[in-house]
Amino acid sequence: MPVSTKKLKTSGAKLVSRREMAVIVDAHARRVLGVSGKVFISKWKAGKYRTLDSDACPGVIELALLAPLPRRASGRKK
Amino acid sequence: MAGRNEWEAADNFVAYLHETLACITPEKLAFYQQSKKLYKVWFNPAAELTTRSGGRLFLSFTQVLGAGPDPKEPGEFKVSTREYSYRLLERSNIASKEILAYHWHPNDSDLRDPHLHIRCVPRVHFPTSRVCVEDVVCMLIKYYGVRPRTKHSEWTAIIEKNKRAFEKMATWKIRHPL
Repeated sequence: MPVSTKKLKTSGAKLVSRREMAVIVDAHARRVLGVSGKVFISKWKAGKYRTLDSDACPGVIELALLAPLPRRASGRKK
Repeated sequence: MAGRNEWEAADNFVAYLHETLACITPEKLAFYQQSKKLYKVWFNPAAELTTRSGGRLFLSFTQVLGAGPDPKEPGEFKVSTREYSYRLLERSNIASKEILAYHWHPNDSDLRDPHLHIRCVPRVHFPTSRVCVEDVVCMLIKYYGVRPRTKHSEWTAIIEKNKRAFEKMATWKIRHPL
């Protein structure tokens, strides 16, 4: 899905709305795992994808980074 | 890379990323604000790179950014990278197997340290330090034949300047066992 034409002031990055992001995550999930974005998020939260990695499923890490999943305050903490 | 608020700090940070990535691609990053303190930047779709031999490669670049008050500069805000994925692809499809991938995704799997995937050595997570995008761009030009978009003196100056900024601003580079 093409993102909106709105851009950030300094960087010129293309600003993506919440609705556009949901469409992007859904498209990624369908392409990478063959499931909808909602199903991916639901299964991820249930721990179904904890062992999946790029070797077994190329693109799954980008999908996890882009999806609105819970994140710790600091990525470094175990 | 600081700003007067989280949004401005994120925008300034992305400007640095753009400057570095512009050495090899004219594509602009997509930017999404998930919350006041959490931002995502990526190429949508993967950026096409031209090689000196006339071939094509694709770069899938994704970073999750956290923004908050700068502890060293009261009243200022700074951004730090929380997770990243830099993948070099032969095809634009992000579901295609990568040539190589630098990953750090402590929130998304049981493997929490930065690592490298190499297609010809499957299932191995080669440990790395934290990898900055400047090193990735440099590697692509030097070893994968990606054609820089500017003169040698120009892109090397950008890489050097922004790598210095990374070294100055990064809160960690090597992950120590807890």
